[in-house]
Amino acid sequence: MQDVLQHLINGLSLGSIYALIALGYTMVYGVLQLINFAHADIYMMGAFSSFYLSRWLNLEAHPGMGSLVLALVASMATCAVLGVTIERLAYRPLRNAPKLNILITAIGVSLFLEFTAQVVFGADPKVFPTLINDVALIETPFVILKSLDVTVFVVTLLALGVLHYLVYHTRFGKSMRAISHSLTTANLLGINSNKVIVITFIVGSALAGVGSVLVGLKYPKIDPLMGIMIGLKAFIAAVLGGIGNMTGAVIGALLMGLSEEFVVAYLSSTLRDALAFGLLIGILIWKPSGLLGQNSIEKV
Amino acid sequence: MRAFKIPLLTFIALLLLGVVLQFSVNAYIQILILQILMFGIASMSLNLVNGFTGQFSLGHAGFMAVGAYTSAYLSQVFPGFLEHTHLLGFFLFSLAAGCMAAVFGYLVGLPSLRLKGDYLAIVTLGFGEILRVILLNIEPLGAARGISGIVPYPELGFLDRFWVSFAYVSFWFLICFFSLWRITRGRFGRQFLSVREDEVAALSLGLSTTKIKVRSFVIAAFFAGISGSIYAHLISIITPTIFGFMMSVNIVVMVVLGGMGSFTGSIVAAAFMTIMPELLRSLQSVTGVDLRMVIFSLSLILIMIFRPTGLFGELEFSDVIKKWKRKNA
Amino acid sequence: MSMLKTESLSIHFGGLKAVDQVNLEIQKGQLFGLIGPNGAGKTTFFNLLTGVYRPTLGKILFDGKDITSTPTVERSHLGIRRTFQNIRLFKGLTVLENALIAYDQKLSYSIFDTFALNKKFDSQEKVAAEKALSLLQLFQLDRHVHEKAGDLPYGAQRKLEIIRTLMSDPKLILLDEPAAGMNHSETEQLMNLIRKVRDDFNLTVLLIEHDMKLVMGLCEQIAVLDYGVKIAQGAPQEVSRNPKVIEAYLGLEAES
Repeated sequence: MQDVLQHLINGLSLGSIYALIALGYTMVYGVLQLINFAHADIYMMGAFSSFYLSRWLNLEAHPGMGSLVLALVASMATCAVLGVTIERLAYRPLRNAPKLNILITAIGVSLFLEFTAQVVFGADPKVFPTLINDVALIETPFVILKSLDVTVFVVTLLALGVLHYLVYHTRFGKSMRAISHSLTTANLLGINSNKVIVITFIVGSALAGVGSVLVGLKYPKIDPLMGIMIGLKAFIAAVLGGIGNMTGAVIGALLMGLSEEFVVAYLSSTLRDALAFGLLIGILIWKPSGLLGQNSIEKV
Repeated sequence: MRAFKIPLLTFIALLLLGVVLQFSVNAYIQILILQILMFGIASMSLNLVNGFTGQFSLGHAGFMAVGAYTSAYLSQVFPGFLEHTHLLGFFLFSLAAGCMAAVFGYLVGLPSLRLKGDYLAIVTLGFGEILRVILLNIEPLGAARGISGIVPYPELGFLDRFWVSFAYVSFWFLICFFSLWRITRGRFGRQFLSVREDEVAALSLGLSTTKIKVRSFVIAAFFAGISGSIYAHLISIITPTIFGFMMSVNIVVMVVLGGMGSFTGSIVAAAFMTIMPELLRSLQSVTGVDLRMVIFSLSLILIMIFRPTGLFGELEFSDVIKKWKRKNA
Repeated sequence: MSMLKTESLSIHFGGLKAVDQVNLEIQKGQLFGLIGPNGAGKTTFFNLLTGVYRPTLGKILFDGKDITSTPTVERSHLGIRRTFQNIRLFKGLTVLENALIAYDQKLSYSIFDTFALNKKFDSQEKVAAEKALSLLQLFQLDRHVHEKAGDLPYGAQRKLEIIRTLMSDPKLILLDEPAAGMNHSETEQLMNLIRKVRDDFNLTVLLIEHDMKLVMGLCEQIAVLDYGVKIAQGAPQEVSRNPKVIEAYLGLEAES
């Protein structure tokens, strides 16, 4: 029973990482009604870019805030550029194509990134450098609070804070929300939807970039296929919260992180991956619009 | 008897083709041909769901897995049965595999087909993943090792193994092709299409869309099960990971490449997708690394952008020839 | 004999009373018009009759049977067919296929009959095709049989939707602005067709229009909805003299 608090911390820490990735899915879905399958692989590329930067600058020798920020910037920039490139080259030409085609394109982009990464980086896992010293900040018989977990929380909260500002206090945010509501109406109102979509990809991908560094720190093994599972889980978290709804994505992600931690701790670790899909199927049958989603009535 | 005339003639023609192939091509190409027929069954059946009914399933390999494991398990438990019954035994096992997959199709389809588009894609993907995790944990089915040493199709007297396998697989291939072709040409075909085109209108015309979707799903799952059973006996080793996400994507690509709503297109695409990676194998000696999957994914994106309707669109191979003749007349 | 009867039929979306306490009775064989300004709740009323929405309150009786909680599909089988204001044809399918799909409930051959291509399959498909072709001829769409429904001109699409409602011998058809987007002579022709099919097929017709003139010439009985409430009912002449109706229409015109 005394582990409960510890599992709570681990679960929340895992959940915050899911949240960072889930937000990208939900934002893109909000503006384009597209499951951006490539999002998970953008995240993977972020991890590799910060890995190579750290190796190049030998950041491991100087763990601390500075190194962490450098790695974050590298990863966010890579992800943002990649996200925009994919949007421009693969998704925009298909803006008016049938949904199925766009979905398959997204799968194609995802596979392309995975296989290219396998060729370029090699298929073997690489060890992510220790960019901050992981020391116990609080140590009691019941619970250990490590600096790494604190870093994860702090960075996530910062990122969410910036996102909140962007979405609710800027022109871009207003336009994005308008497009989520109705693309046609937004266009009629003179909103430059392409520009907003590009910024959405930048912001969503950069968040995944943040997530990738945090994952690298917490589970220091990265490989070209690292995005698949975590991406699916983050996506499911977004659906759980109500896809298109950003608060929902965060709540869904935290729930996902917690339930995963507790299932692994108290039931069985082989159920780890099945749990996510079980949750998904459950939510889709019980309340397809997600926890915070709104039921939409189709106009007849 | 008009119903059986053309299928029977086609079957006889294929049997003769089998004789020719037995003597004219090597074992490597023979295996490829059998694989094309097997994936042809899988892609045609998925086309019923994705192309005709307009539902996006990303879990077809899951149904293949159910079929493969059923067939493999049965032949492991009753090895004597196959020895005594020869092809009839294989036929019965395939049938059982198909039925088992159909049951899974029903169980997965009934709750999830209320969902639309992307959601359905994710749920079917989830089904495939859950199935994989479950199979990994069932010891009697070999867990992660899978099942190996699955009985291959037999030699019959002077008929060699390739010929028998080819005849057997062709038999199912034709059953699949003609069943789907005919189903889609009467009222049932129109029902599938009406769901694809406009569900609200279909409902208002008294068509129970959920029932129609489940029917399409169950039929497709049945043939996926058959295809999985064939896979098991052809390749003789199966593991949970083989029938993963990649195989489902592969089958979807065959459907899209061939053209949604064109069965013959699916077959041609299945052939293309089976042969292409083999042809690209030689590329590796030049580049030094295996670029096949990179090329595969890149061409997938390019096809979607530049030829979104696939090779044939909604036309069947026969329509394409007619069109071409008219053009050149 | 009443074909359709609603008793205090209501549906509320949140605070909005889209349809409120509507009592309506339509006699067998009647050509009944439902009019009202835009947003009066006419289409919502159709959606209630066809089971797309469940009423918040009230009852629907069809041919003496309570169908308030009967699902859409079964109502269609009982003989209620409708068209849609924003045209919902199967756009990618041919005109003939569109008509044939609407005949589905009359077909009884099984999936195995299609495998076997047997007599049952052939004869039923033949009957279906004949029925479709005769209706297409009646509506002068027989030239377009093999064209895609989405490629038809607008007026022809509206006609094809009406054909779909007629394919399986319905008792009641609901037409949602059947003449919308048609010119004067097309409208005239359509009115005659509606009258003709009503007589030939023993139908009851309920149609929505907000063009008063059209309804006046065609319908025997008219009800007027405004803000979800029935404000008047009667013969065309009566209704057009009703001060409430005039106000509803004039009020709208004055605003716009």
